[in-house]
Amino acid sequence: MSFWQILFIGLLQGATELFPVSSLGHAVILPSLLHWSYRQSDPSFVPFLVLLHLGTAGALLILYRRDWVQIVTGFVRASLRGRLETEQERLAFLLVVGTIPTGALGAFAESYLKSLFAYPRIAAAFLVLNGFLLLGAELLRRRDERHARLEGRARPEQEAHYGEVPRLSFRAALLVGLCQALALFPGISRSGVTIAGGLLAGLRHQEAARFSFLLATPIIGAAGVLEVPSLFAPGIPLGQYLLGAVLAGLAAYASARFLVRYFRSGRLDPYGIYCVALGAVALLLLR
Amino acid sequence: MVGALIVLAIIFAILAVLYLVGALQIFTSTGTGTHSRHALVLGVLALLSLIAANFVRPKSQLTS
Repeated sequence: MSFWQILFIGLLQGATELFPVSSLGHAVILPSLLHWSYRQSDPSFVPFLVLLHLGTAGALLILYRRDWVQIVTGFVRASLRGRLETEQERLAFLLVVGTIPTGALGAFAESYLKSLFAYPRIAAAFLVLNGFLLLGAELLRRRDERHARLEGRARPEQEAHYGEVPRLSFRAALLVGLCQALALFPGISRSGVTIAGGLLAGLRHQEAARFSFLLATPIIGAAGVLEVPSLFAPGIPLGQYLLGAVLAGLAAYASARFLVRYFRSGRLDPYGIYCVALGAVALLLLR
Repeated sequence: MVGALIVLAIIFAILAVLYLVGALQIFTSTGTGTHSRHALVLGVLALLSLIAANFVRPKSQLTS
């Protein structure tokens, strides 16, 4: 990869990681559409993507730093006590439950999943599927709003009917966690499926996005940390990769702030339509 | 329930050690060598099983 390609992919990954449009799918599909010559099956590509994810995880840690201090201390306290007493302790264990499926699947099915990175058409097909998942989640939410007689009311009023993260059940957190495991396939958006899972679990959009971003941090961070040794292999332009990671982090920080604001009243529909359209175009062009 | 969770923790811990020393090669990409990532995940699952056991164990009620 050239220097400019590294910077472009860094910005692209950071900007698309938290938007429900699959950063991994974009990182696999767009270079193929642009006829860039580097091979995505190259051993240095996955460590590069993971380093970009580390940049994103760092941005999320900074954005939710106060929450994370309380979550970590809450986890330790509740673990030793053997009982949940505060909302932050409950949130910590909701995140643990939500992280287990992806952690286990990611570790044990890693070799198979990495092989999918070599096929942009597979990523494009999953991107279309991702779009339909987002649209489906909104369809179900609208049906629920009709049943609750919220149709036609102002969006803040509709959203107020739904719950916040600490009220999530552990079964629902596991459901969101299982949704997150789907994102191990390139083209399925991690934030997209976890926000959709949060909506199905009865969270308001903004809370589903917050839970999604909190859930992202340990899994993205752990995946990144575990890949760090591979970055020191010969022939890897570490300095350029790090610059790409910094750009990814800056873009992710801006994206997260935008999305938290957007989901006060916004829905997943535009992102669903975008994923279906881009995935379909990529399927047509990538032969 | 507490006993089952402790047994589960022990199984996870044993599997973690087997992956760490390279004696277990199921679900690995190379089929040889040690697998620290698998060991780490199983170690975390062992720890979480112990924490879960601590949650479900009967607790004495202190009355003032």
